[in-house]
Amino acid sequence: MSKSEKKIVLKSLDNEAFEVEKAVALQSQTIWVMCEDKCVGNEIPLENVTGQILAKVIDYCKKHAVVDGDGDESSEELKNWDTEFTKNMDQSTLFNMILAANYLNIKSLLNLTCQAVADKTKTIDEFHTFLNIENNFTPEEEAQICQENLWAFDD
Amino acid sequence: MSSKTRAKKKQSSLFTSLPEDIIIDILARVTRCDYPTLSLVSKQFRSLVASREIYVRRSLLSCTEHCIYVVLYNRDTGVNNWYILCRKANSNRRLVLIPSLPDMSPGNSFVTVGSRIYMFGIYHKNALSIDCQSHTGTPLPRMPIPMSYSRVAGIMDKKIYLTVNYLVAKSLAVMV
Repeated sequence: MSKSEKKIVLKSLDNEAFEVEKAVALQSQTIWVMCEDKCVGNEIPLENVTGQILAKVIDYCKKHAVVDGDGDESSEELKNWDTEFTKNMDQSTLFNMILAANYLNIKSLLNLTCQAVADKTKTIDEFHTFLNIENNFTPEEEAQICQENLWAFDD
Repeated sequence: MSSKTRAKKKQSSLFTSLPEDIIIDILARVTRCDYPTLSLVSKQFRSLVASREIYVRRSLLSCTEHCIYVVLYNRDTGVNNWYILCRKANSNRRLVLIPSLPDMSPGNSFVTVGSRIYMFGIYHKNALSIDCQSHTGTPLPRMPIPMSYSRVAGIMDKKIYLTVNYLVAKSLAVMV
């Protein structure tokens, strides 16, 4: 395989182009299937992912490709890197990462980002504010649910 | 919940625009003791938390948790109440009442299988299957003989075997 064949260009929704090692990009099952398709050249258009998000996805794939490839880093270090990776992501970035991981079919990234959302939301207020979800219960319905779940709200 | 937790009318949430499969994936990762909290977030959450699907996903993701249940006799009311050991936000653990589970006479034998507890009565032919996901009890078909001082001997080939008065009773064809 020549050097150029090892590289692949990923093009984002907003036409940003990223040249990456094929081994990095192929962690995405979606890209893997596209590469298998002989009709697709060396440039893969990703119409559902913006450049800003794609850059982060590539960072993740690079890190995981290196670790999987030469085994230099322990799984502990990789776990710490993953934690740092999602730690300071704002709500919108995190959700867009989930959508990108889902679209690109990168299972480990989807697991990581879904877990990050679950970890960031512990109280009802956090669900309403972080997830921006409207409470659509009437006060009566709310009171009834509290009664049914007395065991959990009994402080 | 106080009314101040009620959220103001907001723009449509990016979270609820996620595919439902992903929302289930996220909620399945939240600890079981927070599910009542989740059921107060919105109607969609309440229905998801009550669904079988979320528990199937918890198993798939290996997010299942061990819970400790205790039955305590209340001398004042003469009723046996069910409690669950919960960890609160401040990391304290405490037993909290589950009012939806039925009164069970003391001395029952029981066995846990997956997310169910099977209880066998002491004086009568009744047996109960308790679903720890919904915290509901379902009576099992009447047993062929009273389960007096029965003890669970073990589970084999999806059947629970009981010993009754030191004699081996008929196996109970309870699918587990």
